[in-house]
Amino acid sequence: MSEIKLLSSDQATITVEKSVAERSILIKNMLEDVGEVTEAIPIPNVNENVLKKVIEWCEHHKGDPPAQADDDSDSRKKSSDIDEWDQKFMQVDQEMLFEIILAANYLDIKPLLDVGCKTVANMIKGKSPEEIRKTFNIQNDFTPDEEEQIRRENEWAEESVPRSQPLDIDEAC
Amino acid sequence: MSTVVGLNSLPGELLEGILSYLPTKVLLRVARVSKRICSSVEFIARKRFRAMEILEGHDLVFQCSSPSNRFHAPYHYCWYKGSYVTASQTTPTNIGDLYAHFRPLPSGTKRSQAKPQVPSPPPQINDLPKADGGGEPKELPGLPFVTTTLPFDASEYFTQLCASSVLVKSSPRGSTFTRAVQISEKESFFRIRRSWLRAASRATGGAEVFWLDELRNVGLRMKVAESRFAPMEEGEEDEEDESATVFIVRYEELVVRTGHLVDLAERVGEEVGNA
Repeated sequence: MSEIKLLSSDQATITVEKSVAERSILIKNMLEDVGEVTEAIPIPNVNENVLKKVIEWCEHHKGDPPAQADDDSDSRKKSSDIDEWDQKFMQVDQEMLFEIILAANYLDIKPLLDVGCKTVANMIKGKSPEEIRKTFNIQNDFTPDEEEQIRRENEWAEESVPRSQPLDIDEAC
Repeated sequence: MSTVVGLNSLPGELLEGILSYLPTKVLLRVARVSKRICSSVEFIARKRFRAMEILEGHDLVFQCSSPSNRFHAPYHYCWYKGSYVTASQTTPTNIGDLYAHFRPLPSGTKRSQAKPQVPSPPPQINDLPKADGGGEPKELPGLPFVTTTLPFDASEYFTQLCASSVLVKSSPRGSTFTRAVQISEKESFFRIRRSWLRAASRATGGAEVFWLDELRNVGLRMKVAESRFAPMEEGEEDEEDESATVFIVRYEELVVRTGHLVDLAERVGEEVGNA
């Protein structure tokens, strides 16, 4: 079983099974292009902590069947269900959560990116705009008038409460 | 020094990736959080509204009658005419003002039967709805309208109209429905006032819209004619007339807020998913 080395942004070398690292399409393509490598592959956008976390995910999911071709024409993704292991995996602080999303995007690990996005989407569901700002530390850059106008435009969408209560995973963060 | 990453500072494509998991109604509520999120929300919502234009695999079925007749009232398939801003709205500024217009077809007309005569409607949705309503598609040639007779006893000043419509996801074979959701959820009986009907019967412009809910998500655009039992006396002022009368209501269109329809379609989809 061949192993490769990855070099994180903070210069840590991590040894990982090749098949695990190849969950990342970026790394997979790179390895295909250069063939055998003995040097550590630099991953300049991802620090050691995050890279380890990402590798943990890849190890757990190394046996997964390849992702099905995504239908991008559907702008609404069907389900925000997350499997149990992934839910636990994503119980991290917010900074780590967004770092994982950025890393999954950079390394091109689509299923991990999806899990990350779903996790954040579930944190948004069931919250008022003010609660969302508080949760994610977002500055309200609307004037009261502007905000009121948007509220009025979408008034018809206000009253209904989502039927299925989203999972409250943000409590754990 | 590094800035902490957060929802608001994610690259646009990732922010969209996250927001895409939200059902439309939740999505639109989120727009108020910040300017950046607002523009992302709008982008996604437009995409969904545009996809709704096709309405593929869905049928809208409509039933309307006086309450006494409701068990015998037939179902009517509806022809989707497109989404556009209704003429009565003056300042259309956002996609929430878009309405999907449906023409109830006489019972016995299957949508598939009507199809050959129906030119496929031109794409009606515009990125920003135009004030002039964007040009409504032509009527169906040669097809009669669905009508209901609403009798009023003397001194009755309102009557009930029984209306329900469901969005159904039809099976690929086209003959059976797999799942359906009610378009106006709360009730199917609506009070309709004599004075409203009378005013509508005199309206010279287009047909009037009778809204079925406070939020104006669903409405019936109808033409009304009054058929009196007693002929009106010469010069009689009939605004306050309370004698028995009959109104004939002709359904020009069922109008459903496009966003509401998108929400419904998502819910039919969910129910299929859960089944």
